[in-house]
Amino acid sequence: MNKSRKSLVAAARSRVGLTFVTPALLVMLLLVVYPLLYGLYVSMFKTNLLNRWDFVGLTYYAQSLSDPGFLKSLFTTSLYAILVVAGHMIVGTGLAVMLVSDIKYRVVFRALLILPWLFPDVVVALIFRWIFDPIFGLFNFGLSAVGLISEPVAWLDNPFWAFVAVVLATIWKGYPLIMLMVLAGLQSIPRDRYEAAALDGAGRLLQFRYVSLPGLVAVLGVAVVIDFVWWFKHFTIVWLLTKGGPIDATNVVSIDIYRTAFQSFNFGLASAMAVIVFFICLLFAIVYQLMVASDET
Amino acid sequence: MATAKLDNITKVYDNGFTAVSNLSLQLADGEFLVLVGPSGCGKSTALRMIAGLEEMSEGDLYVGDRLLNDIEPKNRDIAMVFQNYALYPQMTVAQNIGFPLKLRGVKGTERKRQVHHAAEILQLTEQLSKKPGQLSGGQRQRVAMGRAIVRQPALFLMDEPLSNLDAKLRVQMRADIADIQKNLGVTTFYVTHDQVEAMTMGDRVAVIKDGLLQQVDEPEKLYARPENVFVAAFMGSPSMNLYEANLSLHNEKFKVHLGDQSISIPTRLTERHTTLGNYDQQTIVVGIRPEDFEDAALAPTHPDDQQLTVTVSGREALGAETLIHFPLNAPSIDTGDPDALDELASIASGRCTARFDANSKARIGEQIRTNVTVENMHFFDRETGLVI
Repeated sequence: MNKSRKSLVAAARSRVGLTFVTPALLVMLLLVVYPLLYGLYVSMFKTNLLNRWDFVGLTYYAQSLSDPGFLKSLFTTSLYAILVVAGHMIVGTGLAVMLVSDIKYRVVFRALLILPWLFPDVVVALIFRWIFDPIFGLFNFGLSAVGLISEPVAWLDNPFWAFVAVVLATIWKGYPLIMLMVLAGLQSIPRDRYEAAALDGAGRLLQFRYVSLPGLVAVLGVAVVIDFVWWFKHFTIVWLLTKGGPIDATNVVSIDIYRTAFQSFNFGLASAMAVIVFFICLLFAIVYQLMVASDET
Repeated sequence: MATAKLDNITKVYDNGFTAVSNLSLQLADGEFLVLVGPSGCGKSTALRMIAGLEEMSEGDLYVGDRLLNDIEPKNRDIAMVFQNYALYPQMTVAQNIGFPLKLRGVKGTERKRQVHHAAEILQLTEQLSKKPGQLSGGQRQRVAMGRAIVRQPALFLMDEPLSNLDAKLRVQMRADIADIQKNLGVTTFYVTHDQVEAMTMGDRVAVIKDGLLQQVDEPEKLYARPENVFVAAFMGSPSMNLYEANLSLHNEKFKVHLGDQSISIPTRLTERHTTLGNYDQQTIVVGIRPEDFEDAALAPTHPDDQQLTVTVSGREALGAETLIHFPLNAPSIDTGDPDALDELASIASGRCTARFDANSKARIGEQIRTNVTVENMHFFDRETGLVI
């Protein structure tokens, strides 16, 4: 009797819980799970998405993983994402450290420094296209003004410099997110910990090393994962600046997928490539989780 | 180890607020000085100025013969224990304690030896490889102490180090800290708002209010001879009962009129109040500590004219003693202690607190006679609040 009443209460409780969770669950199913499963499904067919659905199994996976072009684009993307994330961490942390100290007009600087995050990707790409423009660009203008170059250089036409330009543009666009996260992290470190370090004999640098950095490890870890996953899939800025060129120098995997799907109309292959990217990002997040878990014990 | 001297130290903030004004104190070598006061009285600011975490607006600070005014915190040779411990969470206990040594370039084995020595003093040897997150509040407190003592600094600063501990642990740590300080002989400047800590730990106690030093003395003297109404009310728990009373002098006896009752005091018992005679026929402030009341039923030989008739309104049996509350029909005094909310409430009701022997049979609602130990009564000028 008592037991059954208890289980009745538990059942009623879980019903109430389910009611609250359902809307979010439905949205998730519709917007996340369905496209994911559909992508998986498509990746196993040779299809035009309309009337032709020939089952090919894992053929496309085998094909992409043995395609040097795809592997090279994965490598390019990894390098791009790693450099971008490293740039974000250094610039974002540096600026956050400056913003957290008592400088004049801090509020103004904070507002200004967030601006890049507010610009749409397209605008950022166009701004940097203009900056790197051989004739009218600010970059060449500056370099020739100080005498470093004597005639215009077409930066985006050079494979190495085009890659550098793409990375720089992306660092500029993305650092504010990291800056804000680190700023929040820095502000959550108790002030007396710095004071204790100061009395223990630590100057500014050592305080950063022994108080700020350890206090930021958790925030930076999350930031690295979010940032890496985000920019690993990035398309817009790279596409608008270089279209993946010159000679595949900036051919990141999202451009590869886009071309396969919408220029070659091979939706199955493109889906297989997208699923592989998904698993790379997933793997990255899992490895990170394991690292965090092992750090806590 | 060194002496320390605060010479007219003043702190005025940018917004014009004066947190500390003209604070002058001298600490003897190895002395434990407690700075006590209600919240917001400037005591922590004073401590932080000594540490160098806060700039002094005026005044000079010496530790030993060294003028520290413009010396950075890290070069002051001063260690501090913070209210929230301020340990480094990523480091083990051993690393936390050894950190100041590491920054001073003390080599590995020597550092280890000193850390172990400090850990032994503080009974932390078992905890050395744990991180602060795995420790109890009391243990963290010890680690913070360890980090301070391992340096053998010239001066120890402690900023309410016990306020985050539960009551029982606080009593124990109180004794432990005092013990450790005595054994190490480090000159110590200790800040607290808890007058019990001040009384029990300090060689001397400095009472501060609104940034102004009120009195510095040994705890017993501070308690027995408060120099003004604030110190009188602040030191001691329950607080001293302070009322306005009219004074008259008749036949070698002072008469203190408390509302509609009066107490007689032979003048030979008021010799230390040399100027009390000048207040004949005037209103003064009288102070009676709770323990200077006693249930007349328990001490029937007490002179009749040194008694009050009161109606018991509250009773707290504490086991070893019983606190009795009763209203007194006389105006109470605002002592200026911002933390004394219960004092304010008692002003409204004119409530008086007495500390009776546990054998007292007094019950709520009863009318009783209470003896007053008149030779222990305190007298203050009503205008200045200073002792008479």
